Amino acid sequence: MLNYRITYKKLKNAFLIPSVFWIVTFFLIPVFLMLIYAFFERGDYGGVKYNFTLINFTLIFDDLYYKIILKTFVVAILNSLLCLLAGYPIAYFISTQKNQSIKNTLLVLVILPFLTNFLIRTYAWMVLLGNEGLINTILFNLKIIDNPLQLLFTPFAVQLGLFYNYLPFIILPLYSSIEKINKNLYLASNDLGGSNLKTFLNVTLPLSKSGIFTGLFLVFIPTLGEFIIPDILGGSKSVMIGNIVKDQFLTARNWPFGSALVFIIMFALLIVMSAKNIITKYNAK
Amino acid sequence: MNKKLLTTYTIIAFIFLYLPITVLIVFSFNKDKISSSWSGFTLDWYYKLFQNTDLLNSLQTSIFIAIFSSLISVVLGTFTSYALYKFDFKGKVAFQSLLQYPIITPDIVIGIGLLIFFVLINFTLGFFSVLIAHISFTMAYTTLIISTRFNGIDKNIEDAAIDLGATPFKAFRFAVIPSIMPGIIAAFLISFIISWDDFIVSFFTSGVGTTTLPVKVYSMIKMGVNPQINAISTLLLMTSLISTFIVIKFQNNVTG
Repeated sequence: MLNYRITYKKLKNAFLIPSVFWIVTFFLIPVFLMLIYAFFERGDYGGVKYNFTLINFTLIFDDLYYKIILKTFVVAILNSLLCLLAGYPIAYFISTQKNQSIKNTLLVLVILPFLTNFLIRTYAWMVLLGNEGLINTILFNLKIIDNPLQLLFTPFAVQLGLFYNYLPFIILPLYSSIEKINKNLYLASNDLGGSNLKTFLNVTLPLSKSGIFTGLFLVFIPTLGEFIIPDILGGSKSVMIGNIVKDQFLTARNWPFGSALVFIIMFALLIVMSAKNIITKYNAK
Repeated sequence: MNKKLLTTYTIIAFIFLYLPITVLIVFSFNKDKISSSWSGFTLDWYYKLFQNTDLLNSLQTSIFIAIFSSLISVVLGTFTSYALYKFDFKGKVAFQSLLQYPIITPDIVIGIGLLIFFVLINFTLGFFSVLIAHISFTMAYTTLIISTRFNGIDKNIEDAAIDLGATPFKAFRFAVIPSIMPGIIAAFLISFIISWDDFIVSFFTSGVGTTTLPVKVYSMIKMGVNPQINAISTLLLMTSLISTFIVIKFQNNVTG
């Protein structure tokens, strides 16, 4: 027995070293490397010159860029709120189902589109919104319009695409927090004369706070870094941070500036995460 | 509350979630090339797919990358979860939270970080860079899933096996592995789906020669709507859906 324990101790390293190596080398170092690159000068043909500079961060405040950055934040906040408003009733509805198998089926139906390809879910909207797309064809055949409506390649299309893709992200955390609420609290509130609306506002909503925060976080952060949806559904007016980042790395070849832009996304991630942790701790007290 | 209103709303929401995908699938069988009017059933777009060598090459790349990255990340995930379940060590909590970072970090950050890293160490962008990149996030998922399974098993089974005369290797192989097998299979499939669907990380780390299927589809989409994309999308969707159903079915069989 004792001998085996010693063997185990040696084994411990053998079990841990591969994954520690992997995550440090192929995740941690690359992410830090990118953050460091933000403080270097750009090289002549892509890459960097190893001179410390803050020029990439001042470039962010350039007229051309800060507006796009600001707009990206507005779009991301709007998308998080829209998803919350639209997702909450769905999560609430699923949690009130009494039949467990209906509940499970509905949850699977929420998760399914989320497990299909992001690119394809976005492309599907091109098929619907295009000038020869389904919506315009139907409206035309019903003689409601004479000329196709410009739906695709607009800010509206981008906001719709973001909403469509991220809605399932918020339903799951909302569901799990609403589901945990003790159902007797609803009865108690009703017995004490609370109307349904009052019960909702004073019982359901406050008790599902953690789900609301997690859900908003799960929508806000990826929306901030999004570039596929504006790239596919948006026009030149719907550029977001992610699109500039992509251009800096693939066409403009200003890697340090691209890194500085990613810095903003990481910084927002950090702030939102610490805010979430503080709120969670505060609520736990 | 307004039960009817809530039910109606939820039904509309589900239609909204499924309508675009359904339209896409239906139109992959439509004869008409440009417009969205139905002009008859055809399988032409699917035949054309199988004559498109570029597409078939990227399909092959995607399959290989999904399989290899899932296999490697399942092995890494199993080892890590076992170590986390069995041993205490310095920095365990920090390591556990580090393991979750690839899941919450936006894909664009992982993709660009790795692009910079590979270029810096002069690692040729291609099949292996994409494979390595995929493992760095699928590994986080497999560890999470397999760890959950480890938490559910009896801590004594391994000691019991050793008391009955098994070597530690045999105890691991015949007592531990079978009890976490459902977790390993679920982890493999979920890792497969995530790798199969990944676009952003592959896009930045694939270089010129190697294209995964989603990267290929993206370049087709940039050219505009085309029924061939509808057809390939339908096939991609089906692969994800079938894998998902296998996961669900499997989990039900184990728990039920």
